[in-house]
Amino acid sequence: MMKPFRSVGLMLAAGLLVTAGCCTKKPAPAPAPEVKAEAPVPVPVPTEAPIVAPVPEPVVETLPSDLAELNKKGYLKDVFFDYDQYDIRANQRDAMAGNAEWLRKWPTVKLQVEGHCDERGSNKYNMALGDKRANAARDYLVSLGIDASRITTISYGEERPFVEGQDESAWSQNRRGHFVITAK
Amino acid sequence: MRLAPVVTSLALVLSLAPLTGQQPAPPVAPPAQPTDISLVLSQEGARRIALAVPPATAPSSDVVQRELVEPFHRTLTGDLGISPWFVVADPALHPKGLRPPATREEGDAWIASGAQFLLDTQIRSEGTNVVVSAQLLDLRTLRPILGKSYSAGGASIRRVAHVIANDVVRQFTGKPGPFLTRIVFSSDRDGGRNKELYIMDYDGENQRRITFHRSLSIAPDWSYDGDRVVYQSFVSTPPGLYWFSLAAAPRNRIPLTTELNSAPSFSPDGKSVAYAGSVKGNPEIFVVGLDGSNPRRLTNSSAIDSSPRFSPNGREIAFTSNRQGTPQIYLMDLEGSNVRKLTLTGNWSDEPAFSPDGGRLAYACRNDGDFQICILDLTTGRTVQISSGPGAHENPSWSPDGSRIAWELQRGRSTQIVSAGIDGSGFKVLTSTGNNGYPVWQRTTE
Repeated sequence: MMKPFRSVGLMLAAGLLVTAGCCTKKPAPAPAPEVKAEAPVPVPVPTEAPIVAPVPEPVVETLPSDLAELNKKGYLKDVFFDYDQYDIRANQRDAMAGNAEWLRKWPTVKLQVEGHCDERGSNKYNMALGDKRANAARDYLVSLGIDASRITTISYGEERPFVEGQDESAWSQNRRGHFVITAK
Repeated sequence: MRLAPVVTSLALVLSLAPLTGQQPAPPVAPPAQPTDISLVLSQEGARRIALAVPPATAPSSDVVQRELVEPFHRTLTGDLGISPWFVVADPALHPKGLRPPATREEGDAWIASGAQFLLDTQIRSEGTNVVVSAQLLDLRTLRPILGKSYSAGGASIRRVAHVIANDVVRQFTGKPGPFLTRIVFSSDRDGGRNKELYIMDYDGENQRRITFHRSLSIAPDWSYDGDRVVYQSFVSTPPGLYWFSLAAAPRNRIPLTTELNSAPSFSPDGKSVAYAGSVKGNPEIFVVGLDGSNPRRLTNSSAIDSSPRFSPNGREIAFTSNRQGTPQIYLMDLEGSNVRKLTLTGNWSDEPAFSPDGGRLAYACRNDGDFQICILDLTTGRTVQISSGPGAHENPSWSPDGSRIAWELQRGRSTQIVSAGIDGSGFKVLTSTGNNGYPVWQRTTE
């Protein structure tokens, strides 16, 4: 995120400099031969100035080509579940809407939803519960208009906890649908 | 590795009725085990036979003592000490120098030490071979009811001890104990976030790795003939069911069209597996041939269905479902019909495991707090809890003689495999390296 901001800043700065140049030039008294030669310079300035604002978007919106790098960006927000439940909670819907919006913007992206559980249920049941969670997350995205063919699912049950620990703060972190981008 | 009994029985089996029926009860239940597992069934009414098991007579060389006598004694008393049939008499009370007792007075001295039977053993070398002689003496009659010599050959002295312990149990019950059986399990000891399958002896010895996927490989099951292991592995996407023969054949992937693909259970004939598979995000119970042939969905519920286990007669399948609220164990016929709920108590019941005779079901049970191990008698409907104490007790599996249960116990961040008799006695911790779970006991006794 730093890079695009910096380039926007540079462009704005460049614009200001050019504008400043134009303003200092105006009061220039006698047309000297050198000055005449530079006369066209101020001309493009007004045409360039309005372009400055729209430019950043295309520059910002390139995705890292490496999938591991891409997944580190955290564009897709994980979704969290209640104990032994697999419905998408009301307080997770904004995150899911954001995920859907991002996926609509990048229609070639494919992803896998991992279903995870806390350690409190039995191992084998949790493997099935994780499957339910991953598919609930997938179905929710599909209901928001994302093509189902872009999304695969996998359950890890309680085998790959995100947080070690045996209290609700750890368990609540481990009951999740985790989104992994598999193709750009 | 096979042991050759070079001399066979000296004496015939005596009638057991007078032995078990008329003897006074052993002085006390076995000494408290180093465990917090409660003796739920307790020993009341269960008469244990009191055995004296002194160290084997052998040449007094240090090497012989260290390499043979000590490991032999440790193994033999370990086996017999956790057997539900015996109590091993306190060696401190053994009368000195009276082996084997030749007179009534000498016999009475042994009886006074709390023993009913004396297991007298000798270890000697014959050339490069080690020969162990064992004699089981009825101290009332001073007559041997078992007498054998065992040639160790290339086998370890521990194995000879297991064979003798099996013979002693067989002498009283007609069936061998679990002393030569093994347990397959899953362990993360190789590091990373992977789990691989391992096999160990029933007492935790000889642990060795049997899969090399560098992935998550879990939930093994053992074929009834002991030759094959089936399990779930994440080495493929979606995770698949794999099986291989322990006789070193390559691994095979079962072709499946489902996802999830967890918790495989061998049919008793070894030709198919039941498992939890998912179609469009709905976990159901399936049965499929080992080659992927004839896949059948047995359940049809929008709820979670998981953890299937074939009954030993092959005609029914127990499984877990939350179709009526909390996860509970159900039974259905092999066609998926005649579904009935087996567990009626607790807020979570899962991971059913049939006893070898099919009459009982061990499972992970929970009311409040932690999972424990329960056994449901399918005839009487009575449930007993055999574990206790803090931690999550899960994934029970029966020894093939039906005398013990192995399960996984998570305490804090450590998960280890433990075992105990079905009355909760004889608790043992079998693993200690890394985390270990999903134990499944071999179904053949030897």
